[in-house]
Amino acid sequence: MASDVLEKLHDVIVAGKRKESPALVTQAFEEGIDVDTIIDTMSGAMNVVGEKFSAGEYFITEMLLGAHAFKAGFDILKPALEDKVKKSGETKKKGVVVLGTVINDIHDIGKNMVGSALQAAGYEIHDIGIDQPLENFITKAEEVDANIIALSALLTTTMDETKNLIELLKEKGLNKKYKVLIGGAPMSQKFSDSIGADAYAIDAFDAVEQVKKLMEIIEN
Amino acid sequence: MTPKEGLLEAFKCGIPERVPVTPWFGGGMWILQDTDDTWQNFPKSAERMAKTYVSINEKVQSDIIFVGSGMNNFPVAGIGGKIKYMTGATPPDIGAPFLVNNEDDIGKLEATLESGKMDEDGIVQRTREATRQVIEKVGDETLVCLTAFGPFTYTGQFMGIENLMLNLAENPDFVQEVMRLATVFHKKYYEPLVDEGVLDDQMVVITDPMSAPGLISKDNWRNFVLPAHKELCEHYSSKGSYIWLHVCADWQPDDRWELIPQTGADIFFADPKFDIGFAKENLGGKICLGGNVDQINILNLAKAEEVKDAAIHCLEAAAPGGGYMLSAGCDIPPTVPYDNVKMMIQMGKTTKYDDDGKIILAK
Repeated sequence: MASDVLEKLHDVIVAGKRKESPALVTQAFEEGIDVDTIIDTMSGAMNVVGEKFSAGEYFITEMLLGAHAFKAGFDILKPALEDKVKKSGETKKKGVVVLGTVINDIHDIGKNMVGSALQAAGYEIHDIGIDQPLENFITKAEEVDANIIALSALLTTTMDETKNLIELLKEKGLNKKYKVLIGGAPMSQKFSDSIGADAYAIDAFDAVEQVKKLMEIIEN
Repeated sequence: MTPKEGLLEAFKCGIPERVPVTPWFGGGMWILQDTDDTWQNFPKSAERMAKTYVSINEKVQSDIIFVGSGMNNFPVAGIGGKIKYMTGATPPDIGAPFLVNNEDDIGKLEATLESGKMDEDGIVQRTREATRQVIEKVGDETLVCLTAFGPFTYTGQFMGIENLMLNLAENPDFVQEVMRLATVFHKKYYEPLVDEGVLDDQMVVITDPMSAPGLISKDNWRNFVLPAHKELCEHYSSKGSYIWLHVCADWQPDDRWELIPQTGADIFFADPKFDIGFAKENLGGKICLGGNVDQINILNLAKAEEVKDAAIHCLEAAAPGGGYMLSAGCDIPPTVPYDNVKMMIQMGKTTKYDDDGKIILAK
């Protein structure tokens, strides 16, 4: 009889039971379920979390719990995923994103949720943390051969750093190399347009949509 | 009618002679930039702080002076929280390590609050003293307040915001305990001024951005935030102070509107993301409303004429019948042009009421 471990894993992520997801991922492995099926289940669960958030049924608390439950399971899965990529010799990535909160801003919940949502959607994330000088975003992007630089700013006094990054990329002649995605409470599409950002995301799940669109532009 | 009398009439949901107005909620960052000061230096002298607030207000002519705007985290630092200074006008923030990491830390926080440690802190002392001096100088004509965060946000500053959000679901009793202490903390911050009668007929602030809709559910708001706000409003009202309540973010029409007047606050100050007309329709007559010209897309990025249009939109939607104050939707960025600040003030000061409570916009 087939185990219901995947169903349980899906449900604990949706319910944000972060302490239960690692054991279920381990159990799924032990039952011989392949890594792609497990990650698909987990990503599907995160999509449900996103849908509930969009519908006003979930709030940041529930999103955070879902993201933590996903991450706790993903951490168990990560070595197997890396191993699989190594063995297959596959080098093509879905997309590489450098993510961080700008200097003078130590807010990280939004950034972390964007990271989890993008990871769940299969993107490679390099989170450089909070309070980051602009140079660090560029250095990391160069180091990991990123496609997108995603900046978070939660304050009206720090949101202009996003504009400064775009100007810095131009100065360095890198503005065509990287797409810039911005997000954070004080921002808006109007602000994004005014500074020439490539995309603005209203929340973590919108960030997934925006990254998807940006990757389509990059690949075409 | 003095500006203060007009505002107090609006607090009663009554009709003043003209629409009360402030260009900001706080204005701390803007003032710091305007005076070319720093957050490290500004709180070093109570006299200089007081003079700055008074002189800036002579220029701006706001109906409220918000002493301590941008400084809401200093009281947390005053009891041992780790303050992080930023460059420019960005207010200092509280970072890790936090005061409360688990239930074992609750007793320590309680003991710290009881020890009077906050009262020994120089910045807290000087901010209170600046409040006394501003009230002494202009408090008869202008409403003066000392600003502070609300108890839910202070709970986040005590235990870390992510930790607060996770424990809200996983360990609600723990959060309730820290909330209880955050409520005590709020009272203790204001206590000397309240006890001295300095804040009689002046104002206390509860700004609770961490309790914003979108961040926490209506049930959590009802169970965690509302009781604490109620307790604080009852406390300060009984002492003769008025209460300004602000919770940021996007208040949807089907959200927790009916809970706002239950707090007992005198004015609810609305974020630009909410529909001020809908607020007026649903809360008008129950609580005075303030807001909500967009502080970023309009005040910071647009021209004075667009500020005028946005102000007229708010005035037409929320001012008729009184019980309304024209203002920005949240605190303004330091880069807002003075011409836009001036336009906001002019729009309030020139919008009169007729005997039926209809507004008369200046031509």
